[in-house]
Amino acid sequence: MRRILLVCLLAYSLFILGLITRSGEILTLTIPFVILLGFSFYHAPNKPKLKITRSLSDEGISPGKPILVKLKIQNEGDFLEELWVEDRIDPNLEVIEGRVRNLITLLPEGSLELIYTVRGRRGNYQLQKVHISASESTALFVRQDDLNATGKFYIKPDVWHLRSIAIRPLRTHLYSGPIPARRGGAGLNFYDVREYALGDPLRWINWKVTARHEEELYTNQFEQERVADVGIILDARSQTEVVLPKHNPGENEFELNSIFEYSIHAAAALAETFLHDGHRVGLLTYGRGQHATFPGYGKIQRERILRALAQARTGDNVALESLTYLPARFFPPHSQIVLISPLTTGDPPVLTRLLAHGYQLLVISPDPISFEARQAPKTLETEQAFRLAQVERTLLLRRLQRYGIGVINWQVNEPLERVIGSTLHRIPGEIRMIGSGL
Amino acid sequence: MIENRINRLTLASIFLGSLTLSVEFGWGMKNLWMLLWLLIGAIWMFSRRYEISWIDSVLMCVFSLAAAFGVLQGGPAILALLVVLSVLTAWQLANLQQSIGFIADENTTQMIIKRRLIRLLGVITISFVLAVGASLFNFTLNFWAALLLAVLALIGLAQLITYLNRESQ
Repeated sequence: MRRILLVCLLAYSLFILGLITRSGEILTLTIPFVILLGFSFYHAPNKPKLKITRSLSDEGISPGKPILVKLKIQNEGDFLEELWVEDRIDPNLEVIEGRVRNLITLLPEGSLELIYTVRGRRGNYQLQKVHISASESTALFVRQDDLNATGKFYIKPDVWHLRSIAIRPLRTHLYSGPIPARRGGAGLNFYDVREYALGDPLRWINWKVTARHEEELYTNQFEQERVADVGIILDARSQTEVVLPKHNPGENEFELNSIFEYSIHAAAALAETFLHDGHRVGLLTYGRGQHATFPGYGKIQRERILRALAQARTGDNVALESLTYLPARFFPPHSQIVLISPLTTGDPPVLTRLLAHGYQLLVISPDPISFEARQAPKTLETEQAFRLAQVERTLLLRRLQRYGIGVINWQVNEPLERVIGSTLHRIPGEIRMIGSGL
Repeated sequence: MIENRINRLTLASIFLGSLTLSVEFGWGMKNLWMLLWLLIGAIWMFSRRYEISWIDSVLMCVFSLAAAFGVLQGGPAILALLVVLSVLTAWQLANLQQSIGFIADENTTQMIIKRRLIRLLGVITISFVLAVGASLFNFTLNFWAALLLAVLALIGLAQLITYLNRESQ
């Protein structure tokens, strides 16, 4: 209840009681309250005229890293005896230094800086409302307002370092890169031998082949290495999400406790690696909606993708419950697609359709069953249930492998780099090439 | 440090209020009531440890109305006035103590405390002088004058609530 209302009601109660009982002594008891109200109204603040500006030390940071927020409040109106300022920040942010609220006295043209440091988990954050409340020194008469001082920043996922990933899309670009392009020309690896043409460097002449012929010269050809288009599809359907509860309050709050968070980190790491290798990379988040980051190159694209990953959330959408409406045409034809998904039993037909469209497909599947089994109670029933679920998942992955899809089954407690390295070497080249038409 | 001083002052006000109220009730009623008000005062003082603001507000109302009830039971009006002034002081100081916890720098803290205490002292002094002065004039109201004042008071209350609602929007 507001303080002023309480004093008013109390004064009125005593006043009416005094009138009913016709007791002047009781009426005199209202005097302190009336005097208090009088002081309050006499010194009541006018509507505060404040100018608030906000500045942030950074626009994009990593989880756990602090970000400095400065809020400058400039009084453009009358003297404010007591001004309560509270920056209403996102509850997911943790204030590690400074204050988000303060009680101050502000002279005309005076100013104040509210400086604090926050940190938080992956996400897109918008700091907007600043609550102010001006009162006089009896703290009865209060004028409140919410002022806008917008500041946006995002906390991007940690980017794990991965070594170069061997992909073989059918189509490559003109620019040189790490992917063997199945074309003779300048490169590192031997590709073919052909008859000497004017302009070929002399050091490319294959003398052994030339010695077997009387008049012709033969030169070596090397396989050209080019960059390619890579599309990363991140599965954000809520039916594939598994979240483990945190048992200990003191547990590291930045520790990953959901399978989707692992997928996010995998997507960030892959995007970083592919962009570093010079490829053109795009991202599609498929879940509550379809959020696309169009393919691009370089550091700017890296920031775009990390920003998109920062705001990625799982969600429900009846229309997108299966991958049926996956907009495959979003990615250039014959490009490499990397799907990061725990997978469901209804997904294989859609993936085969992608293969049929000529895309090279690599599936990185964080294992939700072993992830969930970590914290499940160890009873006979749960163990049997997990074993059955694991069998079903193994069959699903084998089915995809039979179609010629490269599948990486990722137990998320293992480093992604090691899993990718060991699995991609085991996938036979001919299987990786199925669907490419070669 | 300064918070402790304010807290001690608050506790002293509560103690004075409950003691005065128990004396006022002891004047014309049974001793059980005296003990009850001392006990409630002790509970209020104990609850200050947890700084629950609604308890301060509720008990301020309870003590003020009880002081008026004590007058009806034949207690001296001056004691009732002291009760009201004490609990009002305690209520204001409790709010001050809560507020200074949010102030970042020492100078502002000193400034706000000084201003609030001066204003509170002003309220108490003026109230006391006026109330004592009013009690010296022994005036009586006839029924119709009292009814008219009551109706005016209700209209005033309605106006005040409307005004406060408009201000808050």
